[in-house]
Amino acid sequence: MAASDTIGGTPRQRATDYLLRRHRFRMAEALPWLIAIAVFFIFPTRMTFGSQVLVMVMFALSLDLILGYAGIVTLGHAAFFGVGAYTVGLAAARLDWTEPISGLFAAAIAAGLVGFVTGWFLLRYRGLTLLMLTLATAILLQETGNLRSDISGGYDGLPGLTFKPLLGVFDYDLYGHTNYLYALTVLAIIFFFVRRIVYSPFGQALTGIRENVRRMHAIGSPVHRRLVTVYTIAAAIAGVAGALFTQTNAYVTLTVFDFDNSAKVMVMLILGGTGRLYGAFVGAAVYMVLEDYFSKLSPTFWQFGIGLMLVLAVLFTPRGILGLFERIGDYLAERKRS
Amino acid sequence: MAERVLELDNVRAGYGETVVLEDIGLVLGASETVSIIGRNGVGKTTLLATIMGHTTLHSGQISLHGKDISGLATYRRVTAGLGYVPQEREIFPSLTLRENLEVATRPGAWTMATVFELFPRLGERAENRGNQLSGGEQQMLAIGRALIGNPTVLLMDEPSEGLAPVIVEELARAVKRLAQTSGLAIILVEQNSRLALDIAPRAIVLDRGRIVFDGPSETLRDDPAKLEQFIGVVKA
Repeated sequence: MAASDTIGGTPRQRATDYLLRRHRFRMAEALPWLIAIAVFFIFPTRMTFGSQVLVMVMFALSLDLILGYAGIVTLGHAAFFGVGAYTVGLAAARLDWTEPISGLFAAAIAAGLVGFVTGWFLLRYRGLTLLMLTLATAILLQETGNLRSDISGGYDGLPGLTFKPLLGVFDYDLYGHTNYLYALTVLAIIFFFVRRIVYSPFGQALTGIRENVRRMHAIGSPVHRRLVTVYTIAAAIAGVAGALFTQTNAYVTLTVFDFDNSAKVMVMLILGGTGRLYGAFVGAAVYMVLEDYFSKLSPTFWQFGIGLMLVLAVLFTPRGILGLFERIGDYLAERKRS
Repeated sequence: MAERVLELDNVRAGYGETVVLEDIGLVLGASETVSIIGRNGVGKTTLLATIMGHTTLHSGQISLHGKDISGLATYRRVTAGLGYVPQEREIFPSLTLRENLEVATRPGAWTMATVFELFPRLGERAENRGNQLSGGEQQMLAIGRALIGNPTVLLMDEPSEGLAPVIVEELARAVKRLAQTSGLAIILVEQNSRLALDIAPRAIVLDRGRIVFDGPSETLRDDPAKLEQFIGVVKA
């Protein structure tokens, strides 16, 4: 049987069918967005916290692009979040550049540049060496900020930042409604951009690199160039997340570069499930909500609750919460078949 | 001989300090198919790995279409015209069959459709993930993935290894068709000497990292004693 017989239609039709099939949105994909919109109406007084969750989702999404798809393990992703956060912070505090959307672009460019330069050198290494080098990058940036505390504000940071109304129209309210919708809109744009990347041939090449880097070399794929490209994109997205963090909180300190921040986002992603896009949503939301709940329950020992949750997650959901749902779905489908 | 597409000149190579190949000289013409046979561990796979740039080249030169590629990174050798089918197949398990082909696609005569025409079975399994394919299908995909990169020289490392006889026959027919009609220059490393000598008109025998025979396949096919002398037990 010829290939054309098995697939049917002209090459153009087959290509169109294939692209539609590949990029088709499934109904379940609307769920996180519907929840995010519902939260806006159900918890109108928790919008500041909601904005923080959305920022962390975006940050985790950027990590998923490099960790989940390209297999780049990093402990210094906070470096890019910090560069983005300080780009808009310094622009507002020192240059009086307070227009929020252009600030996001500036943050993306600054963080992307840092990602490109560091990625070009660091991505020649793998494993523990890469882990240590990425960690060192974040520490170096943090210490540079500390050395020039006259500019960065040091560990006291840049408090009381003010930004112009969104699009010159929407001002920021006390409960953070504008910030929440702003963060949700930016997250949606970033998400569909990332989704497009991971389903493109470039995204397939990233998966190939993660699964067998030697084979990718042997089919003629410029592995280093592709890794640097995705690292730069992820850095830019992390930079946008950092910028949103500064804009929605109206302050920034050098703690954004902390190792804690890099570790936390990795934990969120692993909790939700790597290489799945929506794992970032689930992981960041669950982690942030539990952190908020435990810290209210016990302001002294709240980290115990987080630790216990992580132990349970690793034991019972090694592929993340989404992985657990997949297993349940597979089990139910198997039962239905038999 | 037709245009020389691949030349190895006094190649001495191995893994790090360990030398496996000594004084290898080989010229491959356009559209020529040559089989490399020999006992286990004589350096057949290392020879292909050296052409691909996976080993340490201690001395000598490798040229493709007259250009020295000895110092090029592996992926640049592939873009220059090499295609490689590895012994372990190395299919990307979480990509679909179609995606496995897409990541390797480069413009040229070989397309998804022509690969599916050569291996109709692949067309039927296009949406299956790499880890859902049988050994034979994975091998066909490995060959298809090398072809869709539109190489001028195809290196195949033991394509029949570990496959059921019926699949080996199907594969052999496809490789023979490739050798006769595709215009590709092919180096076929094969443990199954009967199969190799049947497919390729020219044979090279390696022993302890050196070429000990380079000539028409029929010379070995018609002289079992000679073949046994070179490679030990002759497979029926």
